[in-house]
Amino acid sequence: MSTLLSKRTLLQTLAGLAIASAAGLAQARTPAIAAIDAEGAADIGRSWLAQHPETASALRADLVPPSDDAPLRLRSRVRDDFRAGRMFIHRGWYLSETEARLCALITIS
Amino acid sequence: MPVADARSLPDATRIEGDIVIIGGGIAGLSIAHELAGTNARVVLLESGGPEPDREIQSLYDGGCVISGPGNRDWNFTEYLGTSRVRALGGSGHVWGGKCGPLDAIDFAERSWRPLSGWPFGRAELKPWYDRACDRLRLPRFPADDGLPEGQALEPVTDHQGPLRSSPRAYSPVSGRADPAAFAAFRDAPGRAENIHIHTHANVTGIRLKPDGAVDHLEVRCLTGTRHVACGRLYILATGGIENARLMLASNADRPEGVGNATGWVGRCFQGHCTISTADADPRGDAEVAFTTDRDLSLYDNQPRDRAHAVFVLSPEAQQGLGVGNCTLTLSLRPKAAAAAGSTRAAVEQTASAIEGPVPRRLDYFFMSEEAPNPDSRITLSERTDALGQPQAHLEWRYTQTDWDSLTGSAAGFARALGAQGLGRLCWPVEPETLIAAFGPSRHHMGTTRMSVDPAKGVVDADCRVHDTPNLYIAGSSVFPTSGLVNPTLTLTALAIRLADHLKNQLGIAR
Ligand SMILES: Cc1cc2nc3c(=O)[nH]c(=O)nc-3n(C[C@H](O)[C@H](O)[C@H](O)COP(=O)(O)OP(=O)(O)OC[C@H]3O[C@@H](n4cnc5c(N)ncnc54)[C@H](O)[C@@H]3O)c2cc1C
Repeated sequence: MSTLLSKRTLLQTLAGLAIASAAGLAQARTPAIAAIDAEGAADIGRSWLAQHPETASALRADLVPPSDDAPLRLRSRVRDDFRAGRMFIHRGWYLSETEARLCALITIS
Repeated sequence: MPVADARSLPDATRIEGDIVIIGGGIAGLSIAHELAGTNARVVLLESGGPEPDREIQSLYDGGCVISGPGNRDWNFTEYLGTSRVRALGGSGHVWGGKCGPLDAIDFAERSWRPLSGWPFGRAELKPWYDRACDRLRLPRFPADDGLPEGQALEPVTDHQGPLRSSPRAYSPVSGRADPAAFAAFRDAPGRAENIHIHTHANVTGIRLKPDGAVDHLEVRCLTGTRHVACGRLYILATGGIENARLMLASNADRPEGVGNATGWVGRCFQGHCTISTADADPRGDAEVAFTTDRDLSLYDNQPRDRAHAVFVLSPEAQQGLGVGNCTLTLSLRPKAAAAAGSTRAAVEQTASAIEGPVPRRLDYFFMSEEAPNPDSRITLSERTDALGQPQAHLEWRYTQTDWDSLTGSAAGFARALGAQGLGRLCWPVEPETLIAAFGPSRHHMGTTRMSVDPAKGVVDADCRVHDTPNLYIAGSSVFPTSGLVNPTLTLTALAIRLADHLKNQLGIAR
């Protein structure tokens, strides 16, 4: 898959999250959002939230700032998390903190 | 000289040579190869015959307990009898043939690893690594950690990041992989005029002169026949466990055994902890999910006819994490898709949303270096074998340092893969189930460790026993630290280096 396509996927994801910020994530069913297994994400999200109680609006503001380069920033943020060792371990999986927060947002939106 | 059966020699034969090698595995035979055709009379005493035999093999039986903090002990009684072969050619009959040189960091004294540091570095060993590759019919490995020449496949790592690619290749000199190539290696030395191989000749005692040098060897056959063997120089090459067993059991002249004045013989046993996702996680959730569409063929460890690569962490990453060396080996067999609603599905899809490509799910095999631990050791058991020799008992003891290193390395790989956008890793084991998840390697290292200071080890940098001037040791028991590569290429390089040293010592010529 090309980088272009991956950017598009990311854009769709973020578009989905942006819609969600207005209308609630549960109603937002873009293909990319639908592609993230909500049940599995909720498993991760709940576990994250149990350790880091945060509101949906705070997560949303943090993960989906109004900016044109949001998708690339999200990717580089994920990589920076890994680089700095900011990881969340769930059922043996090492996720970046940002990915775990994304799952948390999916869970509480 | 043709190979002679020690059982058919008259009782109490005195077998004489300039050099007497005890053990005809890959180490002992590599030395015999080097000395073949020279003016030295070389005697090689081998316990077995050319093919494995159950009665002879049972001389290897012994005890083994694997233990570590917070884990249940594993009473692995069969380990000593099943992790090596007692026959001419040794474990070469069954070994996998997987080879690579140790990484440069494996030789270094690492401030964060106790008892680390070899008396020399990888660059110094390079000429013998090259000759060992030729002997084992492998491509030569370059001086840096790069891939062998002619390797067309590209690594997905670079030389800067925390994730690196380390080369491996398979030797055909293995009874399991290529019986003809193995037989050629095993049998060639015996055809040289000056090499005298005696099969069914069990060395049961190393006897010392009052000055501490070896005087002679006691040799026994299972038929009851006894002989003695004498030489100017002796080389102990009976394998990583047996070298220590024989030195400890040779206690007729010194109660602590041979070469054991400082008490190091048998200590610091190191294997390699190995954990494979396929075995450790029957649910099949554990994997590495690759989020790159770059070609991973170089990491396919199945083809035997070309080199492949494994992932390692850079020296800086190892130091930063305070861990030992470790490798992550991929299996490129496709894995079943994640079940809907599972964490695994969500992780893969989230990673895919971030990185782009649909993840490729792969099983992996994790191998980690143990820190030398004096309490992880070979001792003599009260039980005896058919020759009346005390059996070996292996107390394979892990420490918290090993556990921290294992989990720290797994986290290190997860970090490095994520930071480079390559993928996400699931590590399948809880700390209290590590031993249950282990597949113990058949690599036996460290029990006669090499040290410059005689107070800190058994042999010097030339592999000569510190307090026994005419006794040398060949094999992985001399490794002070195990590093993270399968040991046989390195032990072969050291054996060839030792042969060169002996040629100089005795003024041996062609
Ligand atoms: C199943 C298996 C797979 C392996 N795979 C790999 C791999 O892929 N890569 C790798 O690098 N390593 C591998 N190894 C380890 C490898 O086989 C050993 O590192 C190597 O063969 C050791 O060679 P050696 O000559 O030092 O010892 P050994 O092979 O143990 O040889 C010792 C010799 O001494 C003889 N002997 C023992 N006691 C006496 C005595 N008292 N008197 C006289 N003779 C005696 C024995 O009969 C034997 O011939 C594997 C091992 C096994 C069992």
